[in-house]
Amino acid sequence: MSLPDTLYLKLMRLPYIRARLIVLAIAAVVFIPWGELIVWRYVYGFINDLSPTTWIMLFVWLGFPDAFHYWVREELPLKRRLILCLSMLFFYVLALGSGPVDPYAYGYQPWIILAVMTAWVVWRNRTAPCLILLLGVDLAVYALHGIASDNLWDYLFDPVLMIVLGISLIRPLMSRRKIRTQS
Amino acid sequence: MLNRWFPTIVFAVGLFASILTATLPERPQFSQPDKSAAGLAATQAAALPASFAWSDLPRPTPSAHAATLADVLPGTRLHVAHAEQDLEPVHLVAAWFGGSREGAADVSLYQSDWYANASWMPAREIMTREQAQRELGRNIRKLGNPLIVSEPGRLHLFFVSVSYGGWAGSAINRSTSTDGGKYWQPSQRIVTSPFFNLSTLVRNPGTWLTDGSLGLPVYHEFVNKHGEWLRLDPEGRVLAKERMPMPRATLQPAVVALDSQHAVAALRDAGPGENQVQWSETQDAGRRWHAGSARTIPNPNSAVAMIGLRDGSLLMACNPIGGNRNQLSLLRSTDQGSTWTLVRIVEQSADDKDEFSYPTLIQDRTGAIHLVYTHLRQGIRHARFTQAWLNNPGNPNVPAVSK
Repeated sequence: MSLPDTLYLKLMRLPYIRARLIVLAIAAVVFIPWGELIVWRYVYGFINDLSPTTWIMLFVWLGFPDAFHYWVREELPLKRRLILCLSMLFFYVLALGSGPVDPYAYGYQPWIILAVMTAWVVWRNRTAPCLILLLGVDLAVYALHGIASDNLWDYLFDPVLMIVLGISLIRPLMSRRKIRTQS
Repeated sequence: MLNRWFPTIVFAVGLFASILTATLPERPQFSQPDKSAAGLAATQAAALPASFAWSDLPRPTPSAHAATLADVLPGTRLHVAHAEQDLEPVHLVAAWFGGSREGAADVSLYQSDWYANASWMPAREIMTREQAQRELGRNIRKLGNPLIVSEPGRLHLFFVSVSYGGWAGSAINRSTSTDGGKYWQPSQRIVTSPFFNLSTLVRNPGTWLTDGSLGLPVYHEFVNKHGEWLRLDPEGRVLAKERMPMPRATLQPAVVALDSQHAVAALRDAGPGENQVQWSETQDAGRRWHAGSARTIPNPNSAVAMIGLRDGSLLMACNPIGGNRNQLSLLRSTDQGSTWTLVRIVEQSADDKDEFSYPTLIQDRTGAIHLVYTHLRQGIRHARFTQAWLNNPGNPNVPAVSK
């Protein structure tokens, strides 16, 4: 079997085919101009630039579902996802003015953030290689000024990622609650 | 071996590139004219005879609001052409938003030019909603609040746009012109908020810093209302952002630099109950802002304009009455904003529904002072006067603009 055939079969293997087809259909509707109408303008007007993290995770989820699920299982267990999601929520609440400190402002001269990230990478060097790789790509995109923002935070995460993370927590948390109720 | 270290190597490369790219701006200092130039400008301004005159800007639309005004300065950023500035007549450029009504889909940004000893030139559309959609690559529901900031040889146009929702969903966009406002470069969005870039608006002019960056007072309306201070490099990249913490909801800071480190800000009071002009100060050129006590000037949740005059005093234009915006007045302070005296009512009406609001003040390079403001939401009015007139303005309670 040729390499393209193998790739095609791998990509289209169930049970992810349905999700991928839905995403591809949405992408077609959003990006293809329908006469004068380009739906993406309306979507972009709302979500603005997505962080490289979101794009990379979407790409891996679409193209390499097995690898994505392995990665999530190994490096983004429920507890870490919960911490990340709550941290993002707390960040947005503060950044929108509910508190004396604006954490977003630190992203314009991000020396503290870079120092904390480096310390985390040294600490988690062995246990979270894919997350470290993801952070490295994020930083490279930041250095290349890949999106409109000048703020490092916008390269690490965005509200869409927070929402997706939150949704990914619902089922595991519900099933845990169910098990606890049954026992 | 490679697999094990590959993520760390990628991270190290990204980190190194980020460190090279990340900005480390100079310690900020407000740009101040050198003493001889400042002395000359002060003498020139003081020598202008007392005068007050007013005129209306062209009215191409039924509704107009939120005018901005700037003095077009010849020269370049690196070469301030004092000789050319002395020879060339004063050229002012005003911009505002107009349409069938505020927030309507047909609202565009308009510009008109004024040359010394001439009337206002016909207004022209400089930004339509459709043009903004094309340039910014996104849906734009409405446009608002233009602001023109001038530097030698270049004008900067900032304006807010909303994709969804009300004004709290605004974002700031920026364009520039190097030919005195004849042609504006395609606009670009400035990202100032992490949450869908929501809710940063601009209204009052900025202050230049010695490294060529611009300190721009902006404000935030979503969830909480407060002033903010942006520092932009000459190409419009955000170098720093600082919140102006206040005990009350505030909007639209108007900032005046008093020396290289000290600046004061007057803010619109958007809080509940009795409203007064709110006050904030920085002692380190905008790195940190501290809330000051509110000035004893009533503020009916309306915009305030403030400038520093060549004689060292501060001049404020605002609606210093409780309740509504049917009186526009000039107030002056000779003690860096601690106390204020009513100089003269510019315009007033007995009808609470009338509105003389959203003032903008500038002192042009000859020393003449210009005020533009929204007149009854139908057009923009321009008043020009001198320091000598401010020193002896006549009865302060008689409106200077006569019908």
